[in-house]
Amino acid sequence: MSLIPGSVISQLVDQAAGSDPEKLAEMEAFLGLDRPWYAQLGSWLANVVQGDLGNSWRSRIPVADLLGPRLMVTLQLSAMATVISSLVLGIPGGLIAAAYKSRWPDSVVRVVSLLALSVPVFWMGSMLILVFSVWFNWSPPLTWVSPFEDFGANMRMMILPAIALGLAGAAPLVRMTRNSILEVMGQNYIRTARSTGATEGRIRFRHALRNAIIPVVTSAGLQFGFLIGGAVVIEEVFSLPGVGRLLLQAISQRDFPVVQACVLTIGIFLIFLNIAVDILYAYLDPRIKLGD
Amino acid sequence: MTVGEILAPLESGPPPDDVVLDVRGLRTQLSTSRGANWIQIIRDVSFTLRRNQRLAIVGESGSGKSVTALSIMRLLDKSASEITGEVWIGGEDAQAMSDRQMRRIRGRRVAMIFQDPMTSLNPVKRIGDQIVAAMRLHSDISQKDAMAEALRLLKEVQIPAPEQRLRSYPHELSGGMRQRVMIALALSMEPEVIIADEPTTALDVTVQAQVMRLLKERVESHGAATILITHDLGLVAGFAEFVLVMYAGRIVERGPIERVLLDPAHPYTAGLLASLCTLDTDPLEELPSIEGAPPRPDDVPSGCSFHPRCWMATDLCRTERPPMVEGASPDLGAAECHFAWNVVPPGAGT
Ligand SMILES: Nc1ncnc2c1ncn2[C@@H]1O[C@H](COP(=O)(O)OP(=O)(O)OP(=O)(O)O)[C@@H](O)[C@H]1O
Ligand SMILES: [Mg+2]
Repeated sequence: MSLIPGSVISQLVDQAAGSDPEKLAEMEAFLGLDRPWYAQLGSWLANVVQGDLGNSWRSRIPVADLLGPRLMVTLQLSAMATVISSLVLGIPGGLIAAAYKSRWPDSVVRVVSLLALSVPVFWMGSMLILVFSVWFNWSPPLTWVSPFEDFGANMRMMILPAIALGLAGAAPLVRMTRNSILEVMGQNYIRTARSTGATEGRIRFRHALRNAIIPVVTSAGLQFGFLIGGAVVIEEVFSLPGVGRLLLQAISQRDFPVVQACVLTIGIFLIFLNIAVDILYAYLDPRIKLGD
Repeated sequence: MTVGEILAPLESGPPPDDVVLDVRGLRTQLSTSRGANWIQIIRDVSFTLRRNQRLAIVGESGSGKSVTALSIMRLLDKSASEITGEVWIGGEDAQAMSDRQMRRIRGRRVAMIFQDPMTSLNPVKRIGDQIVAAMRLHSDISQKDAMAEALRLLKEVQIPAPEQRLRSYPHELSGGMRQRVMIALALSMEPEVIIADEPTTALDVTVQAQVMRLLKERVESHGAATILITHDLGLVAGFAEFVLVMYAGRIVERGPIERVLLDPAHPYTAGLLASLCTLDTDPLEELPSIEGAPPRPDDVPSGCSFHPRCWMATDLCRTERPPMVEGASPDLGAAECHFAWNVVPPGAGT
């Protein structure tokens, strides 16, 4: 980011005091920009460890206060999108495709998921807004409300972006679920279950699904990382006050502390996500013991 | 009633009450590429199994033993298999049943034990739950009672620490223990017939013997008739009362165990016996074995399908399918050979 032309100083100073070189240098020193980049990074890290994310260069507000509420928006968006992409679309889609392998429902699911995969997220978002406002004469509210304040209003605002994001993430999960189910259905223990007289439905849901879902969970976890990337775009399209939008804004304003905090937050988030996936994995697959 | 009557296939209509499984003229075609490229795997298999009998089906790899079992159970992929003939189970022809009726037969009347204990149990379900689930498919027993029954069965198949094992996952057990679980699973549904398809092939020799002894004991005490499928005539000797010898999708010899082992009526059976290692075999001498390999099912020879490997074959064998020849007395069984009952052991005449 230091490589991006135009510094925060010139931006700040343009508005404030004109281009007095003395004032510029004073400001640089105040923000610590006169020191080399590694020294800047070092002191930032030292502060972060103490729980101080610093202040925004732009608004002077502590970064933590800026980030807190936005983090919630992004988390909610990603969580809803993950639920939609896996539980609502991906896994049921894969189950249907596998159950009707090589017949028309399989083809339909596969074509639709291929389409969903090839469409850019922002376009999907825009189309959803367009479709809902033109055809159903309904558009999402413009100001964000916390779900704890007004759950209905919050959902009205979040549902379309979550669908847009979830659609984008569903396609690989559909394919994985389908192939995984088909593979599991050929296993010996499925034949054993059949030999006890279990019905096909029972075999699918009680015997095959749990086994088939194990690899899908890992990939759904990795998906989440991808969804964060998509969330940045979707927040912009739906003007949601999330971390992604904050990050974009901070980058264009060269607001270093905010950018660093956003990146750090996303990083920590991904780490926790991986841990969560591992725990879920161990829960689903008794052959894996945590701590081995 | 004579043994001959016991083994001879019945003609038509439902079999008598003590017949738990009656297979008549079973033929199975399998497709190698989804509805195309049909290959005749089973060509005319008939046999009768009565209550409490222990029958063995013996034959080399690829002779169609497993496909026979899966055809009886209707466990082959529907779109890639074509079965004809009759399979009478409990007074009804399973071939004519709906899928729903067939599901009630599976497990309840005919249960299966499969070859590979490592992969035949669901890896993510506890042993106890798997047994309980199977039991509750066929009876109204409560979860609690079923679990108690599962525990009793684990004890019965001599699994150490059965209370803990009930809560174990399959990967926590050895192959021999898993096969015991499979036996318990089959017994839990109280079937009239248990088909055990190479139940010990994947196990160590010492474990093999234990599992076979256990299987024999358990099926006897539960009063289940058993079909043991194996390529190992040695195993058969200690287990079965009757033997069917299978070659290239056909039954080539049938008879009571002692007679078949002592006086094989078909050269193929004689060949299998000759390749068997016995105590008085000179360990340095090479065992005579049947030369060549069984035919591929899509390339079965004309006439008698065994003739290219047979040391007794004549022109007749090459051109004409041999008849099923009954022994001097009907309890001796029968063999499908032009020279049935006059077999020269391999290597003797040359
Ligand atoms: N699904 C299938 N599609 C096509 N051919 C098959 C299929 N399953 C088995 N076969 C063929 O059918 C023949 C008989 O197979 P089967 O498994 O019944 O032999 P087996 O007597 O059980 O041998 P083994 O001792 O190896 O288990 C073999 O030649 C095999 O290649
Ligand atoms: Mg087999």
